Amino acid sequence: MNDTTPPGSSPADDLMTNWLKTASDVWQALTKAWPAFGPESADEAAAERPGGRLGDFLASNRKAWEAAAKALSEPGAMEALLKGLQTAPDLSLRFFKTSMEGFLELQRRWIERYKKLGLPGEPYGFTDLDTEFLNRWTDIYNKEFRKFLAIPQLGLTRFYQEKINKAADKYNLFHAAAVEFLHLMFVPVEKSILVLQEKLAELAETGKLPEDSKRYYQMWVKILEGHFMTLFKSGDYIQTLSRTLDALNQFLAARQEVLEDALKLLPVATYRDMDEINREIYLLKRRLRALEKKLASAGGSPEGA
Amino acid sequence: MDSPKIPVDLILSKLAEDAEKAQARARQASDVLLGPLDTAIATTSYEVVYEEDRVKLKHYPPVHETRLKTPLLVVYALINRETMLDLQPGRSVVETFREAGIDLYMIDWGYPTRKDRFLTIDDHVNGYMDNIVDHIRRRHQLPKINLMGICMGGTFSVIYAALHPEKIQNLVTTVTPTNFATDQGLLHTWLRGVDVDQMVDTFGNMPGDLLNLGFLLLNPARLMLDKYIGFLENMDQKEFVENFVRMEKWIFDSPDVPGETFRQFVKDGYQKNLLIQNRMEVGGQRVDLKKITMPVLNFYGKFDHLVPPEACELLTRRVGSKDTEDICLETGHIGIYVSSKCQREFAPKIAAWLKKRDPPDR
Repeated sequence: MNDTTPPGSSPADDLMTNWLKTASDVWQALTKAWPAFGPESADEAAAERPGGRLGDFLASNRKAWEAAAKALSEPGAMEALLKGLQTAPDLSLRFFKTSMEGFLELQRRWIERYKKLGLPGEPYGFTDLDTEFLNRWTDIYNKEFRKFLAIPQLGLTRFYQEKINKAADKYNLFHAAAVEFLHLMFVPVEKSILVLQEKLAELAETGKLPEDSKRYYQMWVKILEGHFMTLFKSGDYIQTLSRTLDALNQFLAARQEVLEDALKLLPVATYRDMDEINREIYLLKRRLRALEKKLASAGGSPEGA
Repeated sequence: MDSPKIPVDLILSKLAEDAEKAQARARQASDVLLGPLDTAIATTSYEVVYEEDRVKLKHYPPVHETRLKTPLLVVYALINRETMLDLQPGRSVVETFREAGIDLYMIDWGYPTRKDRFLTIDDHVNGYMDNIVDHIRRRHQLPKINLMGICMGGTFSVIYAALHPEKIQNLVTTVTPTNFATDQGLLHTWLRGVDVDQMVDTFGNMPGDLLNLGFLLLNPARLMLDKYIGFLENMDQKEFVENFVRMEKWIFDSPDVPGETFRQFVKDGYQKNLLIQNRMEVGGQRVDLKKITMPVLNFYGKFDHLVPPEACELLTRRVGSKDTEDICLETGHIGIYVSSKCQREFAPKIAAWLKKRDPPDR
């Protein structure tokens, strides 16, 4: 604090006062320097004033700036502002902390998985699918991140914001499910290569390795096909498939709700509008056909023609 | 010194030879792929004799004279298209039927749009199918016609024959699922766990591409990998490329399936197995298989992974008819219609079977 510091003010206030003065000087210079528009301006009323509409706009901004600057230059104002700003990032800080914890947990799992590489695999069985490794991210998302998207929304646009958050949430869940599904689809490829290696080792031992490279491919595809069949019948696969489809459906439904809100602003009929009309037409046609058949059976005109 | 167990020199020389062959094949393939190719499907000429909404009735008159008095109506599934029965000259069920003197009609279900999402099985069976059957009966001034169904179209035909037995002379079912309580086919296992309500509510109609993806996933090693490796190995042969492209054109020509029909088919069929137990209801009427009293010929494929034999073979034991026959061909779901071997065993057998049961002159 220097000698010129008024009583009750802090170093932050000093810094603020100096910056505000510089900024005010710029605004004043800008409004004064703005050249007057000539009478050829389309807006006659504005043309009577120096600077026209743009000049008015700049002057208005300068006044607003001066008012804000005056308030900010009061002793202690800067301290209060900083305190307020410190409170606001608390949410971001928690979000960041959660992200870091989640990432570290995931990294720990990755390391555990990498440790397994090189260990003897289970080439024929499908009991060691290790989907838990992939479920981990979904768990972290469900426990830690989802709640940020579920923060209650307020005000006029709350319903729209809620739908956008829901779509983002459903997208994340679908993404997690799709990754898990794709991982499962890769398992037979991984295992079939292990089996092929074993088979080739056996053939090499007996000196019966085929000379034709196509034979290796045919052996591998046959093994791969068998492994896919085993996987497709497993409970893990059926559950994952069902979960992925559910997640896809839920995401598409949530996305549709957001799109429908956006389409309301445009002169375009939404699916909901069209489905209502289509349903009415469908029911009318059914009634009409039933009446036509009744008429035909009563000896009237032939039906369905 | 012992000879090495791994013939590295032979393997390497074979690899070099393969690489040379692949280069030559690639050169020849570019000529084939850039040259004129005949890949048209469904080229047999026909006449559209009835239309209702998106649905059309195609009529294929016999090549020479009509040898069967009773015309045959073929009902294809709502999944993929009926063009499979007329893939190319020489591999065409349509052509064989026409040569056999059958007056052939075939339903083209068209491409359902969003407005068709509310159409149920009742609308297809008691609506479109019944109107078409009546149209053919009027056209030929006959009380009954022959009915042949394919896959889901076969299930529709079974339902139709049970609800309107007075209009059907003979029933032919091909790769037709009627008993859904089987674990032989992956589709049966998978669809049991699917939340079909959520799917239909989300999509409206079931997208054809999504269904196709599901079918590809039934055997990804063969259908998504080996098939195209095979193409690469033979793409220097014009005829192979033409046939391959024809098949690709048919497989990926997948109309969407009307949502409510899909919902009922999965729930009543795959999830509750109501049809074979005579508990399914269509248009407020219970479908009683005992009411199928006309002759029934039931074809299915031994290696069909979509509709396995177990899903087809119970039908003939549950219908009311005494004149039934099961024929299991050593092929898959599509091979029954398109493989060269089945061209001799499938359509000619149906033609002969129908001829034998064609009523004498009235």
